[in-house]
Amino acid sequence: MSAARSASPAGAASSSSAAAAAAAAAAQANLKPIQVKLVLLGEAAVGKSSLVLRFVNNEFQENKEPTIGAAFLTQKCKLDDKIIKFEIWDTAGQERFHSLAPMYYRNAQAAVVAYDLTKPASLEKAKAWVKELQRQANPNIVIALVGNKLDLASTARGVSTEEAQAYANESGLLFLEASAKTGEFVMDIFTEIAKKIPLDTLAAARQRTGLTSGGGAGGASSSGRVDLNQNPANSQGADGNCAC
Amino acid sequence: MAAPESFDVAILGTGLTECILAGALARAGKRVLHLDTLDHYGAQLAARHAADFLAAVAALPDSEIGVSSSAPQSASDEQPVLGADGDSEALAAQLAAAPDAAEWVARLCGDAVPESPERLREARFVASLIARARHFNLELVPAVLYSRGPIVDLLVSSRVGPYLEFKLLNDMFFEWDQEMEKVPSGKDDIFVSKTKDLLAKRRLMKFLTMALNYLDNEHAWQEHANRPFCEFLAGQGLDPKMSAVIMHAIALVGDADEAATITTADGLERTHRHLNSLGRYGKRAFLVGMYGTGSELCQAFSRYCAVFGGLYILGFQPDSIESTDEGVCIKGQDQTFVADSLVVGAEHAAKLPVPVKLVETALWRATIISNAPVLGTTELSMAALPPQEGARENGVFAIQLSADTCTCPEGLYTVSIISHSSKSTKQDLKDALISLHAHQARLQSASVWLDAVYQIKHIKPETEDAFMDKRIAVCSSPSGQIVLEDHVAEARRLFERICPGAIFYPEEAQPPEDE
Repeated sequence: MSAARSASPAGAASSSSAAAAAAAAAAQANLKPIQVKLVLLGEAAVGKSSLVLRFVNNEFQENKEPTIGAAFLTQKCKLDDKIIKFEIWDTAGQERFHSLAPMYYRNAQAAVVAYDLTKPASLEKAKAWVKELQRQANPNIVIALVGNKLDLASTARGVSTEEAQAYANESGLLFLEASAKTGEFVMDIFTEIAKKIPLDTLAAARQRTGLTSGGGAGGASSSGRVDLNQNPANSQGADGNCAC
Repeated sequence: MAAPESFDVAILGTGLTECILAGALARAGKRVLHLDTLDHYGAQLAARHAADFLAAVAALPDSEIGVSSSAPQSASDEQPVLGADGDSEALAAQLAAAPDAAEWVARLCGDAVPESPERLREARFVASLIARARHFNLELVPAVLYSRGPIVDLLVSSRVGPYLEFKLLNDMFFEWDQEMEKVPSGKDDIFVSKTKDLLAKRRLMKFLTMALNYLDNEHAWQEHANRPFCEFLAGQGLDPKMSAVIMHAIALVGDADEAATITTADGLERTHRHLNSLGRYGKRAFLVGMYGTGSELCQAFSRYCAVFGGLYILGFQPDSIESTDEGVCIKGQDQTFVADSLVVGAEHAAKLPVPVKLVETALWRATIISNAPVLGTTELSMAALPPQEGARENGVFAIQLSADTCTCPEGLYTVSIISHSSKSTKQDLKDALISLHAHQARLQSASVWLDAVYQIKHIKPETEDAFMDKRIAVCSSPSGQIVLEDHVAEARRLFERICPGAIFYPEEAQPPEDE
């Protein structure tokens, strides 16, 4: 990564019109977004969902409501000449009793492990989740440790920046403090993650394993993965192949 | 003890009916508590790492696990056994560093470090499987999905599909006269094949055309509707081989008794189901899930339920389940949950406060792990091995998977052999292994092969009405069939009893494709 690299989340509230124009130009150039699966972890009530809603809702269209029951939320980020489409998985009701399925961790390239910087116990919980990720997830996963509720830092901080930073450094994690409430540094979480993910190898790997969403024109993409929503021979039904 | 939490519906067991039901209830706005005593999703359908799989098989009564190999004709013929090269000294060093691999090598190949090339190759193979155990997703109860069947239709309409990845089984074989032949999947296949005369080909086309639209062609079969399908097939001028292909490889009737008695109406329905699935996603009819079909379906529907507010607790051991005026009260692990209704998987029925009559079927199965393909060189394929005089009384089905579905590491193949008949014996499965071994030998002169033969119990409530009292219902464990489609209908029946009038998985708008 060159130091000159500038990252701006497409459509972020903070993004300038220039960035928006760049995003539009990129879109015009028909750039295929690189999909990145990102999983959220952390104790209940540390504001995991709020962080994501802040990130996802700060889009061009303010009206984009998160769909309740959406499989995952998506948001695009632009990094240099690449568009990254984050596919963000929330733990929903499977985390309270540590009942996440292997499917949750599978093929995740990034994780946001959140804690509440007013509650030291939530950092301990975050450390446990980091361990779980290191055990279950892909070994190259980019993990960001995020201390949420930065807006309360001046009045109710319970975890010092130094302590969390030291832990993040020794465990090889990205570290940020942010506020879902004010939006401060929320975008940075995702752009820092985007910078750290080896996007080129990822795009190639996805091509190989067929982890593209709606990629192929036919029902089966080149890698043989079947996209259930693509019905090449649907209109003819089985007649197409059975030739009866 | 914490204050009781209340739910509309509690479900115990994460088998497929339970998970589909959980998702439907949560989507309909019900507060769902979903529990399992096990620490994984999917009950019997769970996919396992190699060591877990072998341990699970070994724990089943009367199961057998064995390893064998055939020597290469020449050095260049040798199939690589990844991660396990080297001589007996290298193996000994490898085993010294890996106690679980050493344990399995000792169990399957004997204690002494083997000297003969065959035994050494087998021991290396076992060691390499355990060394790469986490790269396996092996299922005790594997299954396939019809491309156009209740499960795929539900995955598409409900938008649960995006959680899952599927591959198409690219070949379908049929064993006849000890040969593996491809089952024709269309006009081209039928007319290209040299083995059938033109008249026979025309008759076959005529039958398949009729069967594809059998409901519009009632005149062709109505008077035979309740008579045996096998007689109907014989009356179509089809030769015994083509009749057998239709019965076993297309209608998927594996059981000899069923083949003799299935009615024409049912036989045509099953023939239609297969033919109708051809061409939806490719030339063949069946899909398999990456990482395991049933296991992944259970996880996907569970996640869907959780996203709609369902609460999940795996590894939950209930101390007591009581039916009270206020609801069903479940206590365990310092928690108390109260629910208006409780649905339990049949394997948990003994924990209920009401008597439940169950029907238990035990089916023999086998799994092969080899370093060479068995059914054909196409990695993902399926075969029907029909009943055979002097060999096996009942037919079996075989599914070959590979690293392509993340079932095993690169360079290996797995074949699951499934019997639909409770009359099939362990010997029938062993005979099927022998014929598959012979097929593999024709494809590949050298291979190493591990096989596991085991029996799985499938349990369902005796009565059609799943409700044992006004609050408590029992649902089936997987039926053991090669297809899982019946679970959708069972979940729907339970849903309609619990939420009368509500919509079972309302059709969701497909999101606009933005790239």
